[in-house]
Formats: sequence, C-alpha cells, structure tokens
Amino acid sequence: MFFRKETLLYLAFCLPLLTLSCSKDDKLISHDSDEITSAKNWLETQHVDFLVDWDKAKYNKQSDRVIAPLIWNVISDDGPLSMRKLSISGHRTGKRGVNVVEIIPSKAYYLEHGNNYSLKDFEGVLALRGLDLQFQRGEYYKNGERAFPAIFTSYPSMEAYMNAPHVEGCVYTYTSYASGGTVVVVGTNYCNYGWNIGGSGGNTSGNGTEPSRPIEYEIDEQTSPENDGPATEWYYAHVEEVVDSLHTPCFKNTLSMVVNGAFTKTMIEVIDQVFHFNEALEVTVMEDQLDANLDGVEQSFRSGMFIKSTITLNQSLATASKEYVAATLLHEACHSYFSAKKAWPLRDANNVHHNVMANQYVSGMAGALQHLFPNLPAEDAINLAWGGLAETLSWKAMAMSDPAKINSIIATNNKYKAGTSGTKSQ
Amino acid sequence: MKRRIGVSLLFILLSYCSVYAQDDNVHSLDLNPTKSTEREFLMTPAEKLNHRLFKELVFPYQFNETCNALFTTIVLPVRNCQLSDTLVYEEKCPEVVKTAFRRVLPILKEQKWSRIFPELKDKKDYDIVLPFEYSFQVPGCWDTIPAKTVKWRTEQAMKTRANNEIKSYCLQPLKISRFK
Repeated sequence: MFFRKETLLYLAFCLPLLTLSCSKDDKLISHDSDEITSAKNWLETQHVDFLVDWDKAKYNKQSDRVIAPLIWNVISDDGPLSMRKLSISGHRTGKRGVNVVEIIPSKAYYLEHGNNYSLKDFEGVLALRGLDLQFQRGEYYKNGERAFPAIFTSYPSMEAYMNAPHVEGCVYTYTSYASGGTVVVVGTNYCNYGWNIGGSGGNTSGNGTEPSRPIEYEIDEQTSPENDGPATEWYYAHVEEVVDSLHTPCFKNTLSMVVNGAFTKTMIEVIDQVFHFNEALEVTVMEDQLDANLDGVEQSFRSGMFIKSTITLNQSLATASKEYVAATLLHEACHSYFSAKKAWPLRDANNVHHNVMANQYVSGMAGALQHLFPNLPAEDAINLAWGGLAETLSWKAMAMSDPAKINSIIATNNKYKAGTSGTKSQ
Repeated sequence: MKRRIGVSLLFILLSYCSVYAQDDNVHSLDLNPTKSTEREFLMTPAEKLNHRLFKELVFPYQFNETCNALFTTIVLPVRNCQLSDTLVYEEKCPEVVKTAFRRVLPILKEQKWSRIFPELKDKKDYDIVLPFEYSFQVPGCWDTIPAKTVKWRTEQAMKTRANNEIKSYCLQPLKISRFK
C-alpha cells in the first residue's frame, strides 16, 4: 500500500517535469539551426583555421554537440576514404569545447558502407585530434564496440607506409591526405594488447589508458536506405572495346578524338583502360535526352564475369563546343575507370568518384583537353575539368578560399556549354 | 582480397593452359577476331552468345533508372535454317526490350545454333527460347529476381511450348544487372 502511494506521488511529481522536459526537447528540435549558428559563431572567436561544411552540420541533442564535417584534402586510392568531423560541445552547460574526430573505417567496412557510417556495426578507427590536428587518442571498433586502443604513425609517402616493419598479429590500416603539396599517409595499427599500453616510436600518440569517454556518438553519418539489399561486391575488370552508339556527328568526332588522342600521364591509364583494349569491360557510348542538369551519365552493368559501362551524353550537348563534349567524356570515362578498376564502395559511388576526381584528376583532364585542343587556354582547360565536381570537398574549400575562381569555372563552363567559346560542333 | 584476386588470376591462367594443352587445334576455332578472344576462348558457345548479346544490348538511360527488375522470355523462330526477322515476345514485354533485341538481331542471325544444341545439326525448323533477366543491384536502387523464380518461369515457358509441333530449345538465361 505504501509502495503504491509512493509511486502515485512520484508520478504526480514527475509527470509535469516529463511534460516540461518534452516541451523543451521540442523546442530544441525546432531550433537545431540556432544551435548550429551559435556553434559557428563561437568557433569564429577561436581563430582556428578549419574549413567547415556547415550545410551538413547536425546538432546532437543527446550529447549537446554540434557535429560538422570538415573540408580537407582527403585522398583515396585503393584505401578507405576517411572523414573528419568537428565536434563542438557545451552550449547547454556554457563550457564550450571543440575536437576533431577522424573516422578511418577498415577496408572491409568501407567497401560495404562507403561513408555511410553507423555506430551499430562500425569497424575501424575513431580518432580524436586536437585543434592543431595532432592525434590525441584513438580507438579501434569491432561491430560497433570499442575493442583496442589504436596507435598512429605518420609516413611521408605510401611507399614508406608499405615498407615500414609491421608487427605480426597486429592489424594495420591507413588513410592519406594532401598537405602542403605532399601526400601524408597516416597508418594506424591496433594490436590486441588491451587498454594498458604505452605509445610506440615515431609520431605516435597512442594513449595507454582507457579513455574516460567513448568517441562513439560522434560517428553516425546517415542511415542507409532500408531496401539496399546485401552488400554489393566490387570488381576489378579491364576494358575491351568501345561500342560507339552515337549518331550526332559532333559526338562521334569528339569521341574519336578522345579515344585516339595521346594524353597526359595522369589520364593515360584512364583512357587506356576505359577506351582501349583489354579483357572484360566493354564501354558503350550513347546519347539520349537526359535531364537538363545532366551533361552525361555513366552506368555500369555486369553479366557473369563481364563488366560493361555505358556512357550516355545528353543530346542537348549537340550545341555545345567540342571542348565541352570532350570534357564530359573524360569525366564519365573516369567514372567508368573507377567503377571497373578501383576497390571502392558502390554505396555513394558518385560522391566518392567526384571527390577523387577533384583531388587527383583535374590537372590530368585539363592536360588531356589541351592536348586535344592546342588552342585551348590553360585556365579554360582547368575550368572545364572542374565541371561536374561542384559537390566535392575540394570545390567547397575553393569556394571559401577563392570564390572568384569558382565564378570563373562556372562562367567558362557556361560559355563552352552554350557553344559561344571553343570549337563549334558540326 | 588481393590474394583472392591473385588466386582467381592463377586459376584463369591454369584453366587457359590446361585447355590449351588439351586441344592442339585450338587456333582453328572460329573465334571472334576482337580483343575478347582470350576470354571467349574459355567459353562455351552459349556463353559466347550471351557475352556478345550483353556487349551489344543497349537500353536507354531512363530504363536503366527504373529500378524495376524484369524477367521475360524471347522466342527466336528458326524456319528453314534461317532466323526470322520477327522475334516473339511475351505480352507484357516492355517496348525498350523489344527495341534493344531488334538491334542485336544480326548477332542472333549469325549464330550457328547447332554449336549450342548439337541435335539441331540436321533440323530446319525449331524455336530457340532465350530467358532474359534484367536486375538492379545499385545501392538505393535494388531489385533482383530470385534464381528459383527465373528457373520456375523458364520451366513454365518451356512447358507451354511442350506440345507445339515445332520443338523448342532453351538457352541459358541472359542475366544483366546494373550495379552502378
């Protein structure tokens, strides 16, 4: 009886509180953008030199943190594409703080999930960096659970990482990024030593004690669609031949130029693999009426052990300059090449492809365009090579550091697309 | 994964060597003089046909974006040893599929069916049934057809033709899936 009375009293006391709490939460939900703006304003007072993608910032009510992706020159070749997020805490408590969280998935997890991280099944390293971007601590996760502390070592090149002695029984992974014109590889290893280990040599900053707070709630990126089906396999394939299904003379002519042209070193592999001989990948180039915002698309198919890539040019490009058509073909050829040759995840594939193109292929594409069109000014070639890459991190970085360049890219692409600059199609 | 690829390559190389060793007349085979010869060399005539069809079949961009898998059977009537210009489609077969197959008619007409079905060597009139599956394995655009459904529907198609005066021969299904 006493218990019942106490319970009733408890409920009478708590229900109004619960209601208040709910209404507060509702208020917070409707004001997430205020939290983000507040965090942004606070960060500006800290004089840190980060490029933040505020458009994709989220407010995590549970942890009272604003999480925003950082824009940086991540590079992905065959390794996982890592992600950095800024984590700004403490609006409710008034004690502001900021960390950089780096997510380095294991290769297997990356192949299956791309950059759609979720804590429930994450496998890989979560690392905290300070405002100076030095590693503070890291944790290796298996199936969404913290497993071991991770050790970090920086290497001046991929070769240095590959040739470094590896301890038997430890697991290694890496991520890489461009810094001051050079590629920095950060290798991480996780050995099942338990939490009480010390750091190792080099630039290591491993923490020997169990961290007081898991990094885990920072990582969820987005929920994968429900009906995605099982993880898709990835493929290595080679290109066999080009099936030319084009009928617009300008397209046929430009395709022939691209296929037969000699190219800059960067594009040689792409063009050779996409448009020239090998074994198992066919490329069909066709034209169709596409949405107005699409210049071209690439779709990949398989049948048994064969891979086929279809590049479709928008018929609206019939009035564009040949330079623009060639730039579109090179862009789509890169998609074909990546789809067939690179061990990258298929989830969010276009986004990954575009980021890699922006980081590593723009100058190669520009050089190829200048080779095909010797009168094409270098700046125009570069601007055309940037076409279709407006959603990339590199583009966003450029938009912040050099908005005039962005305007120049857009203007150049518009002129060549309209056919008012460049070689007339015929 | 690299090891798996290495093992696969080794297997292909060994298969190539063993087939090569078995048949000294391998160079006299009627190989398509394209760059696919090395791989086609390892294929059965039916696999070669499917490969050529896969290579040449082109579907419009919009169709490739539908995310609706389809399975259908296409009947190739051969009369007096010649493939008819008119292929026979199922009632609900989409027009784009018909258009795509019209485009590859020359490949089908070139085909020597007795290489796939040796019992056709002395026959003039017969029907070839081609089961065709088009599926989507793109993240966010996933629609596939279970293998048992393909099998059942192929069997049904053949059953309905079992009492026809002209005998039907079933090819192995041509399966195309979009993965990006």
